Amino acid sequence: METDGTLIEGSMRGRPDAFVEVVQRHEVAVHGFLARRAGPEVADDLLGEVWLRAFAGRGGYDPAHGDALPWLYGIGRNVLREYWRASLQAAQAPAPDFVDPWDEVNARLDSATRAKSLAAAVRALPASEREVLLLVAWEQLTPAEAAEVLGIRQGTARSRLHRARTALRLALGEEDTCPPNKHNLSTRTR
Amino acid sequence: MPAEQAQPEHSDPLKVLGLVAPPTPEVLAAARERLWSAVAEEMLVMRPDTSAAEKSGVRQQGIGERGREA
Repeated sequence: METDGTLIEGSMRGRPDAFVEVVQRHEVAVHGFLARRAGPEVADDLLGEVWLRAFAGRGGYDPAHGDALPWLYGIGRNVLREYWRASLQAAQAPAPDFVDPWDEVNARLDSATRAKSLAAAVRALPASEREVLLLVAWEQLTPAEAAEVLGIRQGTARSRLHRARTALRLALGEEDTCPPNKHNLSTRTR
Repeated sequence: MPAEQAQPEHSDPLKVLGLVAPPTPEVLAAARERLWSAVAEEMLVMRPDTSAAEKSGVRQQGIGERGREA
């Protein structure tokens, strides 16, 4: 099977339709990324925009990267930022510097106390740490891949993740009946 | 599936917060349709070169055929 990198390279060399196969591989994951942060309806609307931006910007993709998903998440993040900026400008509020999915998450929360405590603890994290944590926990990325999405150094991503987990464990340890180490906040490594 | 078997998948409360319903096939198809428009546009831009080369080849072949006939 051709890697994403090979397909994207092929799409630059006379086979633009090869890019559609890359999209088909990752469309559910990218929709999930958008839906977790902005809700399913917004995700439905923005998914096509992500594909158009990715297709237009594929010349900048390094074909040595076999897996295009972190790159696509990065584009999805930019599309979300612009969406939020436009929404906030419409409401005449200052634009945020980051993607903040918590309004949507709050809307999804059920009445479980544990879920509420966890959501509150995550909400209390600095946005930069929260972003890394959620890319790892929700999108199953490694810290290195999360760094690629965010355009930061791997070491920075790792330290932010460490700080986020420490803060979360402390917060949950204080509020939750479950011992902190019962919360599976493990990292996938490659 | 017994609840015990389903448990490991949802054992991380943070992951549970991130659970969303998968998109419908119609949503995915609509997004792909937007991409196809851009792909088709690029293929159309490429096509004139291809057509020109094909015509050129046909023309040369035609001349050759005529040459042989002569």
